[in-house]
Amino acid sequence: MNATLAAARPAPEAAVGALDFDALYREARDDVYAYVATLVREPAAAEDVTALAFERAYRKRARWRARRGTPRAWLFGIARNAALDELRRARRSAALAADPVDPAPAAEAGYAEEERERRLSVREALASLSPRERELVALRFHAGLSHGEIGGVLGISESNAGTQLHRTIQKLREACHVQS
Amino acid sequence: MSSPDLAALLAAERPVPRPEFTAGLDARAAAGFPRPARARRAQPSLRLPRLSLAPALAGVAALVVAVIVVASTLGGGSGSPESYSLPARSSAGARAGSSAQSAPSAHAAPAPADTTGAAGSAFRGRDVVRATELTLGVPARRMQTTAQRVYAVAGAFGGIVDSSSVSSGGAGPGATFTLRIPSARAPLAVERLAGLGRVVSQTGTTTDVTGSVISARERLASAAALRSGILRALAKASTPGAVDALRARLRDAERRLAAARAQVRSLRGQVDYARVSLTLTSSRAAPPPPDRGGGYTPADALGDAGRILGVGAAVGLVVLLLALPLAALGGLATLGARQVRRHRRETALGA
Repeated sequence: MNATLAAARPAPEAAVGALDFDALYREARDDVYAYVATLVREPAAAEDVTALAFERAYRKRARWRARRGTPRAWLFGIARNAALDELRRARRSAALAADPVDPAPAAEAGYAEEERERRLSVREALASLSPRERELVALRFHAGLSHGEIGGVLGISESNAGTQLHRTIQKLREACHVQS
Repeated sequence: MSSPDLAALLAAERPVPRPEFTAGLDARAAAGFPRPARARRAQPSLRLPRLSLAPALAGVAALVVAVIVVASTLGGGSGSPESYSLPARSSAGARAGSSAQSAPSAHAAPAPADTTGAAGSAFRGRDVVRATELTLGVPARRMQTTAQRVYAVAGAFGGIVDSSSVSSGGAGPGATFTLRIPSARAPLAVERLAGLGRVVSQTGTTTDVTGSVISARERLASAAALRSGILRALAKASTPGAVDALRARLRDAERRLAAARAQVRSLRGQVDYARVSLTLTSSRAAPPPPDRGGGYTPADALGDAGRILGVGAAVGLVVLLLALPLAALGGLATLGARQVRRHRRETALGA
């Protein structure tokens, strides 16, 4: 997924009218996994939670209402609850402070030294964030949610979500500068 | 580091699912996320009580409480029969009728003082004096026939009409009766009398005289023993002076004995027979009693329908008044549980 600060993902067509679950699944599968993996910090648990989140969403698909947010925001809310339940169940909250998972170490072999250092810097800056800040980053840059959708997932207003995200990016940028 | 650079670097840190996992999840999604067989059976049984049992229980509880409240309210009305006041150690105010026609009649054999009627269980084994004051509304044109029925009811239950006064003409037709009914049959007799007209008021009193009866019996036994002793002493007396003195004491002892016997007899009479003071008043609007053979008229049906509707409305109102706070409490509890669950989840993230 190509997520940028400037362009947020457009709302899917299913936001109006009935929920097209198949389209939502195809569109959000990898995003949900990326978000959940950032929260639970363990690939196996992330897979379980992702599957559970989609299963719950499928069972509750008739309860989705357009006026309460986009299908993506609704789906990520379900995924968030499932991930937090998993964290509580497994007492894995301490793992959030652990080292981030290396997504593809082998892929970095071909990168230039400068690029590799920049990625290491960002990874360490991410690790220095609080769990809530990392969640904001995951929702925005891994899942591509808009500020409004992030607010819907976290139960805060759109402006509040934007403010928190802005502060997090500032903090992340400063951490990157310090490390570089 | 520019914003696009940072965004690109952050996107590069995005976790990627394994192809095996995505393939398996795609297959499950295509199949509609089938549950395992055991979970499919367990899920409905877990959900059904959560969704439907709590409101149903709340509704049933509200309905039961409403019925009890309405029943107790309606049952406590002034026109209800068998309204003995318990415990009643007050004297039963027997009405001294100004009798134009004094009619001691319809005497029957005394019945044993059994307390099987109303409040009988509370006074089982005790000597109790019962009295009832009953006022009935009767149409003026039926005053005479109703009075005749009062005599008939008293006779049917082995009772005594101590006094009666019936006036059917003039400006104020009415009747008063003072009846004594065998205590064991008094509740049924009162119920039968109440059916002769519209009950305007009914008051029942009971007085426990067990202590008085025991005292009277003891005085009787004491007086009898004293008399026997005096008689034995009289038989042994030898001097005229002693004989005269003993005879004087014997007369006094016999007076005491007679008084004690009278008191015991009076108490037994009060216990064995319940006093019923019945007043018939003229009432043009009084409906004919159901056991007169007048038939079930449309007016009766209309009255019954109105009463049923009133009771139904009262039950509905009470249910509503009970259900509203229960629903509010349930809503608050649900909101509270949701907040607690949300707080715990947030705690899991922030820990």
